[in-house]
Amino acid sequence: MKPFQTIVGVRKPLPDLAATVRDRLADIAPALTDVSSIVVIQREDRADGSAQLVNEWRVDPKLPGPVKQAISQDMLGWNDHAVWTADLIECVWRIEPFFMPGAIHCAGTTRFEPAMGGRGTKAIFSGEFEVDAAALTKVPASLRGAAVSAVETVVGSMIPRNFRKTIEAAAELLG
Amino acid sequence: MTSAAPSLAIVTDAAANPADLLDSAATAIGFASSIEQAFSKTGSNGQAVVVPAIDGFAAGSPTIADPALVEHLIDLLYDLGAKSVVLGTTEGSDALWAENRDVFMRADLLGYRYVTPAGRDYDIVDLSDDAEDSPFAADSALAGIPLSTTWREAALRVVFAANRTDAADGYALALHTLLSVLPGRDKESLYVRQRDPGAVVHALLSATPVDVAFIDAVVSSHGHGGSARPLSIETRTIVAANDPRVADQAGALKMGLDPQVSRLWYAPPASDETRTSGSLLPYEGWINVTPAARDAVRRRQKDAALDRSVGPLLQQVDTSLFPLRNEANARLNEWLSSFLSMEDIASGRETFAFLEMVLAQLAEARSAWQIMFAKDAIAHKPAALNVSPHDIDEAEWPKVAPAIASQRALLNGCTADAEGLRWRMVDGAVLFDCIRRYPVSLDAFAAAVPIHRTIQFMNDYIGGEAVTVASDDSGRVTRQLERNLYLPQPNFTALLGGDVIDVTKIETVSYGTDRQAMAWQTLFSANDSALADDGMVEFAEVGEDTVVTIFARQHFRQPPLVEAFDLTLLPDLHAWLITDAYRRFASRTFANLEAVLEGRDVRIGKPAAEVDIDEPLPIDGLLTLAERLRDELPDDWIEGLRGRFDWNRSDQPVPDRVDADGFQHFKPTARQKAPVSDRPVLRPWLLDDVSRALAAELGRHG
Repeated sequence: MKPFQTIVGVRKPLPDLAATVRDRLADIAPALTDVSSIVVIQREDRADGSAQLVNEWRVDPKLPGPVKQAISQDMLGWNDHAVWTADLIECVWRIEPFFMPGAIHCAGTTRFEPAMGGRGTKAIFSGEFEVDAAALTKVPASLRGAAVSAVETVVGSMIPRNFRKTIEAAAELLG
Repeated sequence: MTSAAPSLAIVTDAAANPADLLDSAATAIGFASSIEQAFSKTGSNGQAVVVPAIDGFAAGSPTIADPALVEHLIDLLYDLGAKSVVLGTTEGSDALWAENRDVFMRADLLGYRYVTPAGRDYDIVDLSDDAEDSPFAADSALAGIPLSTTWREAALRVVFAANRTDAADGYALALHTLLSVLPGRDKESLYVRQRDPGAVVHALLSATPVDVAFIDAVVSSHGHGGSARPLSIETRTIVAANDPRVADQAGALKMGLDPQVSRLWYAPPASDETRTSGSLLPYEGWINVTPAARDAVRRRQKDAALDRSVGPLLQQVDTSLFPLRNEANARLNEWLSSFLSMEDIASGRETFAFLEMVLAQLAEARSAWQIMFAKDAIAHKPAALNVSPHDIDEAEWPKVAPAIASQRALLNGCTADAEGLRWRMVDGAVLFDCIRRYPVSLDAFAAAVPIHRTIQFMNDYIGGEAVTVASDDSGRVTRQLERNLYLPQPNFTALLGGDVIDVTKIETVSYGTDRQAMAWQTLFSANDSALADDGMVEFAEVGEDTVVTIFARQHFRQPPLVEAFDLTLLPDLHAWLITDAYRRFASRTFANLEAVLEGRDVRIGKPAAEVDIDEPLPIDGLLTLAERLRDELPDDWIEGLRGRFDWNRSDQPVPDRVDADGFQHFKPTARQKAPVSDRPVLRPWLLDDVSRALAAELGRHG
């Protein structure tokens, strides 16, 4: 289990920033490296003001030939299940990758807090990432532990970086 | 605002709370009356600008001024009549490699709340945002650098430093904190590498004096690693002074240091009236950066690429607040931290010192290599003129050319060699002249090669500045002051610690119908690298050609190791070395003049700004390269590589035996049994066998 956390601060008011991240992911996608599209495939606005969304992320990263052969294009992406509180202060999320479904566990929370004396917002992103070693059937059993650790380390650093880009792109959209 | 007599207060009380210490120190220097004076001035905008030490990498770090104390000071300023108070600072070079380092987020994460304990709002401003006009004089180290309007127009300027050791300067107190008002992210490049840091501080204080300086020494940062590896120590002290130099002087003495160890230091004017309260007794248990470590860090800092690469690796960072931008840096930083813990004084300190020494050696080796073999990689060295025309007595100008002519007369009787060079030693200096004829008229030559710029076209010129003092009716320069920087001479002395040659000169130029001449004489050498570098250049019309003559009298200091050998004891070797060095100088300088005549750029190296400020960090450059490789390599490059090793060959060789060390032994094939005389020179069979053995090894795990 690889925990990760990162803090991103931008000079935009909390309600505007959080609402942009919740409602305008499709507009944010072009600003994100290797992300080809983000589509809302399900949205439920609840009576208490909270919202439950499922966003489908499609990515098109440059992969080495052998990896490309192993993973088809339709497997490159994930569904992001998110529940937003009515005050937009918290979003609890869970990622469901298309590749190795069930073997990858990735979930966490995003909190938005006022910062810089009300002149901006702090987004605190934290979560955990885990790969089920048993699912790596193509890797020799003796190397699976190391492979899991390597994957968790790489992904554990990639996720916070992409989150930062998402928040910065949202702030950019707000002008 | 500056009060007439400097005041200094050092308040120490282990039992008092920090806010009370600050109040006591402020009272002791007459803070209230200073402020009243500042705000009551005609045209005062009533605004106080406080510049705090805010460059730490963790909340509660002893390398920053305690935000609670700074906010207490803001309340005090409001109580004393300030209409508004703002905190001002700018981004530092750390914003290049760590996240959340912009002014606002950094302040937030380090504990600033934008509202004081008494409920007063204050703002934090990035002083780069309104830095548009430059208030600095043309002969100032900061000429042309813009400065924040907020800072310039403030009714009261306050610096609030932390009490900390510094790896390069011994201590980083008020003057160090003051540099954060200057614009530009890469401050090490702009204000340390490219300028004399002491001159920068002097220029800044001359343009915008600081009214009050505080040093938060309640909890200090000491230790060998400086601010990069801070070590907390309770010193329960506040230092206050109405001149940041006085505050720094006291701060350094309390650390047990000579204030002069810092490159930023310059002494406050001597005054019999300094009112001092408090003790200058050094802090108990204080640990300073060793002189050897300071020296190593300064040597390393001269190499921009290395210095910029090392910063993110050595800095202790709370990465939950300030993640490192580059993953490789993050991992290396984490790994190095386990060796550099300053808590473990013995091993951490020595590992740190050793690492710094290695880095210094690496920086110098790189520099020596560039000087000798890769001059185009050297960064130009901007060196503003360090003398004012007002410092030169009018009577000095007419003396220059005759003085040089009389020196040249001492070459009479020397015979020129086949290449037109002649030289002799006089008073330890080398006097030489050389001559070259160009098949171009004087008018054409002088139009293409302005004689007053000739020194800048000479061999190994790496930077400097010339300022015109007088011109003739045609606008041609007749008098100028010039500072020149040259690579160490001879170049190989760079290997032995030779420094750049830095000479400031007075120069006069005369123009005739068939002759132009410039003479120069040494005023001083800022780094003491030259005792003399006088000379003259003449362009003379001879028929339809131009004859260029260069004369110089040079006496450069050599590194101690070279000085230790008195080469005059070996006259033949000495003569050979001098002849070789000046032949080289003459041929390259004349070639440069020819190139300038043809409109080519002859300057070696590249602009410093190109090297430092606009360039990505070296690690980011590597990342870009990796991404390019990823994008440009064909998809099947791995297969191609595999094919080279022929992983699945059916005739994969089987080792004859595996020895006790695990080496595999193969029987030679028939081809390898060919007579020695038939074997190709490069012996490809050997490479074949290595490839096949490798293929067998890889195939085993494939």
